[in-house]
Amino acid sequence: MPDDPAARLGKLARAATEPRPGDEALDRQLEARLVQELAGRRESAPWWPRAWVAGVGASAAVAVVLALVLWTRGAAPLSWSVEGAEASQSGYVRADVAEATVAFADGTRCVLSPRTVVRIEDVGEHGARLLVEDGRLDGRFAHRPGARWSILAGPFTVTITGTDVGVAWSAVGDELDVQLRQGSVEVRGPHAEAGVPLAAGQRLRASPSRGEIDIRPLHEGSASTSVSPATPVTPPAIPSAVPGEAAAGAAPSGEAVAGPGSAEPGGARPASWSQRVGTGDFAGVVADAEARGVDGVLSGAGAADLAALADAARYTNRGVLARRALLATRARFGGSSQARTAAFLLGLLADARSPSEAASWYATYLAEAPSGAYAAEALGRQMLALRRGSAASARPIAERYLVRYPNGPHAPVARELVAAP
Amino acid sequence: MVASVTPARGTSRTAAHTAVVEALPLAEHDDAALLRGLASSHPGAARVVCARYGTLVRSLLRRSLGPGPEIEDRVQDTFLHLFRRAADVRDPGALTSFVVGVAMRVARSELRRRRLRRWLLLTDAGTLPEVAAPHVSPEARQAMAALYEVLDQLDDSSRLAFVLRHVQGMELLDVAAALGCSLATAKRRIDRAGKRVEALARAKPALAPWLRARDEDSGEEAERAR
Repeated sequence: MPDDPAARLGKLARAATEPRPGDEALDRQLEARLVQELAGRRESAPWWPRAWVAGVGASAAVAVVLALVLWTRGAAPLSWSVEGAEASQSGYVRADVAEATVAFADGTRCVLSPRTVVRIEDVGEHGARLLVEDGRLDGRFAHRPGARWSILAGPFTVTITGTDVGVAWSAVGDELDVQLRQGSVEVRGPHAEAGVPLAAGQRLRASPSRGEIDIRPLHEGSASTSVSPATPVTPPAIPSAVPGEAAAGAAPSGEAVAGPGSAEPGGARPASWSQRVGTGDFAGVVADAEARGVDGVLSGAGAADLAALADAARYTNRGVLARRALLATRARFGGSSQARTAAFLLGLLADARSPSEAASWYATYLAEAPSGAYAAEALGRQMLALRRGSAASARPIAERYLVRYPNGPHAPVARELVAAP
Repeated sequence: MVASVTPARGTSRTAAHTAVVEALPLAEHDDAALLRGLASSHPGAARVVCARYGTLVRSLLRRSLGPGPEIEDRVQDTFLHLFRRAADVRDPGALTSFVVGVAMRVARSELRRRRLRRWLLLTDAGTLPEVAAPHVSPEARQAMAALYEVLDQLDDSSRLAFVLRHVQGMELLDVAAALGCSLATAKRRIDRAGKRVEALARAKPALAPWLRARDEDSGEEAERAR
């Protein structure tokens, strides 16, 4: 391109909008959201055609009006309505002698038990904050990208992704009760300042005044995990939603750790970690691994489970755990496709922290999988990582990139590197 | 990890969470396999498509729209559109240009929405948010804000043509494909946009250093931008 003012202004914008170290975290969040989105679409796929055919005529006009309104307003808050109770304009809802239902436009429905008082606050495009002043709220939260829902109960905050959860708060009894039937949540509050992740099939009860947090499977009679204020909050064992799976502590030294996908003698096959990652239960997989004992998992789990654990750890910003899982994959399953992919992912993890280490991992991946799924991206990222050291060291990689991927995503940067004097 | 969740034989939809895992050999496959994975909503395809195109899509949208808090939402929109339309891609070899085309449609839609919101006075003047780029000097940050004020005065087609050619550094043919127009039209738009940007930029003191005749080498210029 000629060196005219437009080109120089273009260079200004290019330099100021280049990928930044923080983009790795954005990539992980995006990936996690898209994994959930795809899993959700698979499950809901059969529903759409029927609804489309049935409702197309009547819905079209409404959809156009709604789309226009949303398009012009952008961040229009979700509309909501209440059945079975009255709501004030400020969002105060009180269910007296019968249940009441709060329905939001995105499909989220919350059922308030009798004698429950809730305030609906900060209603936005992607969710709202529900303040349970007293009583019990059972919510089925729509599984949507970017959804932001939280429930405040006394001094506790329950942060929610797409899920089915019951939250009860007794102001008199000073007790929180969270029953998670599906999805994942995180509970923060007194004695749980760092946040306690809950997985599907778990129940948490907490009392700020007594300083107790108790986590156990939803069905009574199973093993529980009690947390005293003096001890760090540790995620509990295994969700009871997994049939036939016993609560497990750390594996005894030297004993192979069976992955969650292993068949249980005489019982139903539990959901595997890769399956749970596919349904968005990232925190649950990490909690599961920690409950089993990370060292034992890293030395005993299968390649698929280690890969799933690495994914879950990356999606929950547990970089150290992800790195350990990936290194374990390479050490124990060298030559496998998981080990090759682990090299690329180790590069991604190192990218922001150490460009030279990242470049080395990308080179490893390219040596082991020259035509692999991530080959183009590994070569491009290797080029970018080396460029942060010196443009000269990146130039040979840029030339190679242009030969192999002349229309690839990193081709403009590669061309710039090659053309530089 | 690349795996797919499929309901176990005989299980109902509500039991899908306890379904079996079926491996999909995406890991060593090409764009055609990736497209099949996307079209069938395979969760394992998300990681591959993010790794391959996340950087590209984010940079395209940042450069087209300017920095702002909504960029990540638009990145996600782009991928969701891509998932929806993956089955329509006939030539897997053209996946990159398809992704760029989708990102440009998302950018165009966002620009339209911003403009309408300004017209309807639903927001403030639509000023560019602070550039969240710690590696950029205050001088360059100011210049970039001025540049995006200039770009805001262009029509959408000219703006996107300018960004794809001069900011993203794409070849003319690729710009034409991304904008869905002929090569001749793309050339005209780029030329028209360049002249208009230059004329408008002359009224912005912050952009003066970037408009002066080039008497420095590119290393110094890059240094100034940082």
